[in-house]
Amino acid sequence: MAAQTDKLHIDVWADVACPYCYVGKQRLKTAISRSGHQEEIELELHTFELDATAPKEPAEIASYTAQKMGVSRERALEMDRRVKGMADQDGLPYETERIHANSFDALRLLQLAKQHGVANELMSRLQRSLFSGRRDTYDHAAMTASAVDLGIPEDEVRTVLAGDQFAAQVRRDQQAALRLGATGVPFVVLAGRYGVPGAGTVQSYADAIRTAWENR
Amino acid sequence: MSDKYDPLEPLELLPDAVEGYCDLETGKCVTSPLSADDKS
Repeated sequence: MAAQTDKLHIDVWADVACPYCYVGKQRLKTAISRSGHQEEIELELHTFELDATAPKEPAEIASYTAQKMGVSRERALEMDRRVKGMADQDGLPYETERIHANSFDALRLLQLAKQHGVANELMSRLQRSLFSGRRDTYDHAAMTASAVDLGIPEDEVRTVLAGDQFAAQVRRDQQAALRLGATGVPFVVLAGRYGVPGAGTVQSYADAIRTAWENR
Repeated sequence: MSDKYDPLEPLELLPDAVEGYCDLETGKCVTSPLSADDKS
């Protein structure tokens, strides 16, 4: 459970590659900014590796999804266009012609970013890069540049990306979500009591924040 | 960390809020409510 404080603690489980995490987190941040309690809300990011079978080398997302799910490429694109419609409404860049690759190194880097208090910022940068269609999002050089730009010492970033540091923390985050009953991401827990599985609307997040705030 | 995320009582889920999610078991991302096509 979240510590009993005057603040409202919100935990978010997400993967860089998860489109609904990209949309949902933006909506949650909007709801927080409109809540009137922005300064009293703590948003804590937790990593979740959605696709451990994803290739190290980037693949084209629609073809990858089609093959993995056993649907046509056009069908995979059609499903992705629905999320694009949501992203468009929220003013988020979203390209259906983008890459997909293994996100584990990015998630380990996010654990380092968490130690430096910039995990939410790094997640936003990585997702904006990925969903904008940049093909180098998962390249170590690109991730290093993003992390360093947020103030993380370059030697720490390089050490993490060169080895397997924080792998255990990524796994622990994942197990924590499963223990809480998560069946999908994004997975949001407010005040350690209220769970929102999946991406909600700004209004639904606002309602959840109000409920959690009044009962924290 | 384990103490923090082991609530004594189950979470109160707010499923009405869900517009879409990525399934943890399959990795598939679907729009809610699920359509028959999404389940294919």
